[in-house]
Amino acid sequence: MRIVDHPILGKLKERKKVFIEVDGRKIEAYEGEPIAAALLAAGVRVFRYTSKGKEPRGLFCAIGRCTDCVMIVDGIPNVRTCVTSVRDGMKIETQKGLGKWRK
Amino acid sequence: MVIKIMNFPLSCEAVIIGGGMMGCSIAYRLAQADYDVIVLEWRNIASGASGRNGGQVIQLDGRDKDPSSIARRLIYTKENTKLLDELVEELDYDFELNRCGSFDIAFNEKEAEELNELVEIQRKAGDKEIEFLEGKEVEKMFPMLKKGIYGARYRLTDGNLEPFKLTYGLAKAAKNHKAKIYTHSNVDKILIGDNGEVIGVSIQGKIIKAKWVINATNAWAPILTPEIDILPLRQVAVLTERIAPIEKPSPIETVIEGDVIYTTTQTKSGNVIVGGLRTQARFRNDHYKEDVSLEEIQESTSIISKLFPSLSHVNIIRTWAGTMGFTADGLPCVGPIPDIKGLLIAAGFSNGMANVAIIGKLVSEYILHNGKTSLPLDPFDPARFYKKKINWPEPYNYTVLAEFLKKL
Repeated sequence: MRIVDHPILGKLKERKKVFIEVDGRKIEAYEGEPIAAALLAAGVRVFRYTSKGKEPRGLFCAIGRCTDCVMIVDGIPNVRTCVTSVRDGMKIETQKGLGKWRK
Repeated sequence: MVIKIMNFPLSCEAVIIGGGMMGCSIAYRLAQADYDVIVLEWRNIASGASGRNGGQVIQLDGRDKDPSSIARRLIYTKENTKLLDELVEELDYDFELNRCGSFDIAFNEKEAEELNELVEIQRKAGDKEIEFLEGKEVEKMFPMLKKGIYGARYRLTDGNLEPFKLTYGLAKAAKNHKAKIYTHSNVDKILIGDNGEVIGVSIQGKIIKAKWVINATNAWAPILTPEIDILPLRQVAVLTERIAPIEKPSPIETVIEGDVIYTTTQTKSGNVIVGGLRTQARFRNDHYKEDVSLEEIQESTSIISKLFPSLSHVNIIRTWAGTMGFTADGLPCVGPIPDIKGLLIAAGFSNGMANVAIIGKLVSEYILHNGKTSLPLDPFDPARFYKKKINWPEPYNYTVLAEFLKKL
């Protein structure tokens, strides 16, 4: 889902396309947009699973406060995807609990 | 502020002053033996050092090179570890004891040599749970720790626990055995009769009579028993958000950037704690300050990223300062105060977790069995400091104090 014509913000500007890898799947994204935006556009709704109840979580506040959208980005767990911009070739993984550090 | 007037009893058999882990531990053992005991705490349970430390269970802290002192200390701390294991079963409260070992890490060759020598001395003195690890080995165990490790002293059976939960667990168990615990109850004075016998305490204009009074207020002990000098030492700690396990949660003691000793550990829930402080408080009273300045937070935070470069982006969610109590020989001060019958002190713990269970047991035995204890209290005898003036260094921090204690 991507809003291409917003009633207030207007039309979506043309931007450079980049590719990110989510759990091994290649996803198209626009340069400069938050990881979470690219994920939503690609239909990804579950970003992580909670450590105690193993329940799925995704985008909630979308402004960097609630930490519900954290994922493992380039091997670093707990990265807030709603306030972190995509970069070409970024590797993103669904975070289970507190995640794992890259060895 | 609303001051609640407590319904204190008129008398009891033992009054414990201080609701920290030591006071609660003594109360638990006494109450278990059906002794009529009350605890008076001026703030809240575990609001002093008991709730402000890293929870490290290090049975031989510091760099002790005196074989007889090592052997003597280990008798108590090893027994303490055994009792902690038992408390895991006994208390209806998970205090997250994790026996994951402890490290003293050297980041230069000179220190590695010192540690290697230390391990040899300590092994000879009877500590078979200690070994020296080569730098490469440590780097393999701690891939996230900063590179350039020259070696480490590794102590197998040490670990960490959640000090808040331990204190609350002990308090709860004491209450289950009918001990009474009063918080926000500040004792004004310990009352002593003309015959040199303790009468009780005066509190909020009332008198509670007691056969025994135990001062378990650690760094604050000199307020009530000025005969014994205990030095406050302020330390600052920061706590990160919960993060994935960093391979080994073990407590690490290390000296970085020259002279400051930092300790770090990861709790069961995933937070990393780093403590230590470079700045030296100018006056003794400054060591009781429990607020933390921005500079101190910045310093402690920078230590995390220096020790664990890959954690440099991790968020700090809490920070605090706490006050430990030091005696002039680094050993706790536990036992009767000379010349006053019925007055005991259990203070001067610079390493509470390694003593809490055994000291609680020994103090209760002292009271229950007319001064007889299963392990002698002699090494901790308060008489060694009774009315002695000590020329403490000033200003001081942990490192200055450690140097001072070594020279004595």
